[in-house]
Amino acid sequence: MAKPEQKKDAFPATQMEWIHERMDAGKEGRREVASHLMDVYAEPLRIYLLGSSFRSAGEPEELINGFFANRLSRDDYLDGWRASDKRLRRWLINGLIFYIKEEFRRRKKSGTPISPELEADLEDSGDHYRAFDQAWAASIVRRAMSEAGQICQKEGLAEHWDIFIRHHVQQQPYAACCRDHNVDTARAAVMARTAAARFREAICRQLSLDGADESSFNDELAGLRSLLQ
Amino acid sequence: MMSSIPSAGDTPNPEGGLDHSTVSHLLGVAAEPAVRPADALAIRLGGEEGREWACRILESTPVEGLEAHDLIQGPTDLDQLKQLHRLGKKRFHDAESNDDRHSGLLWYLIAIAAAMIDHETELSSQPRSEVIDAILIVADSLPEDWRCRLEMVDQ
Repeated sequence: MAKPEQKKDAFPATQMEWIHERMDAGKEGRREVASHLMDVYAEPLRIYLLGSSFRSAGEPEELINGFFANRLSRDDYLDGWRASDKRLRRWLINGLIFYIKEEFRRRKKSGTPISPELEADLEDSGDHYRAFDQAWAASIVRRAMSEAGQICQKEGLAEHWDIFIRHHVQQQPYAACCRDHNVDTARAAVMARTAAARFREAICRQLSLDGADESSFNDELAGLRSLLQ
Repeated sequence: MMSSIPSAGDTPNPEGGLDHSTVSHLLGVAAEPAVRPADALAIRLGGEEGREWACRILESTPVEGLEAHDLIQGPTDLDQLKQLHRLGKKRFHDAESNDDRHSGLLWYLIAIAAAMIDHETELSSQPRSEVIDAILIVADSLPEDWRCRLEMVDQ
C-alpha cells in the first residue's frame, strides 16, 4: 500500500486512517507502520536527544535504534498507543524516556553510576515534551516543505515554490523574488499564495498523521508556534 | 529528505536555514485559513483528483452554443460571456454542495477573465486587482491550456 504522504486522494483528516488500516492488516501492515514511524520520528527524537541531558547516555542514533527495535517489535506497544488516545509523538517520547530509564537501571545493576542530575531530569517530563515538540515542529515543517515542493514540481508550479521559499524562508521581498521569474510583484504574491496552499495541505497531513483532528489543526499550530517563541 | 525541494536559479537549499523563527513563521503561514472562495476553489483543484474534477467540469460550458475550446482559444462572444458570468454567479450562490459552489465560481471567473482578455470589459464590479488575483490563484491550479489562457488576464 502507498505510504500516507502519497495518498493524494485523501484529505488530511483521513491520514491517520492509513496507520489504523495497516495496523489491522497483520504483520506486514504493522511492519509498514513501524517503518513509517521510524522514518518520521527518528529525526526529531535524535535532535531532541542531542539537546537534552540524555546525550551523555549514549549515541543518540544507538539509543533511538535500540528504542525502536525494542518497542516496535512488540505488538502490544502500538496497541497501547491506540488504546491511549494520545498523540503519536507524545506516546513515542514517553516510550523513549521509559526506555532510557530501563537502560539506566540495567547500567546501575551492572555497577555503572548514574549522575543525580540525570536521574532528576528523567522525572521532569514537562521540559522533555517542550523540547521534543520543538524538534518535532521543525521536523514536520521540513517534511511538509519537501512534500509541497515535490507536489509543486509535479503540478508545474516550480516557480511558485521558488518564490514561496525566497519570500517566506529567505525573507526576500516580492520585488526581488519576481525578477528571476519575469513577473510583477502582485503576481509573485499570488504565486506564493498558491504554493502556500500546497504547503498548508502538507502540514495538515503531517498533523493528521500524528493523530490531530482537522478541527484542531489551528490550535495545534498555535500551540507549536508558542513553543518556538 | 530536502534534496528534492525544487528551487530555481541560485536559490539556496533551505534545509540549513530553519531556525525557530523561520519554523514559527512557516507554521503561521500554514495556519492562515483559506477563507476566500478563490483559495478554497484552488485547493479543490489541487492534486490528481482535483485535476480530474476540473477536466470534467470544463468539458462543456453551461451556456448553449459556447464550447470549451472557444473559451480557451478565443476570441469569444461578449454576450455569451455575460451569460456565463450570470450562470456561474447563480450557481455559486444557489449551490447545495461545495462542488456546485466551486464550479459556479470557476465559470464566473473564467467569464470575467475572457471578457477582460478578449474585450477589455470588466464584468465584475469588484476591484480589478482583487479580481485578477482571484483569477490567477485559480489559474495556477488548472490544466495547462486553461492556465495559459487565464494568465493572459495579467499581461
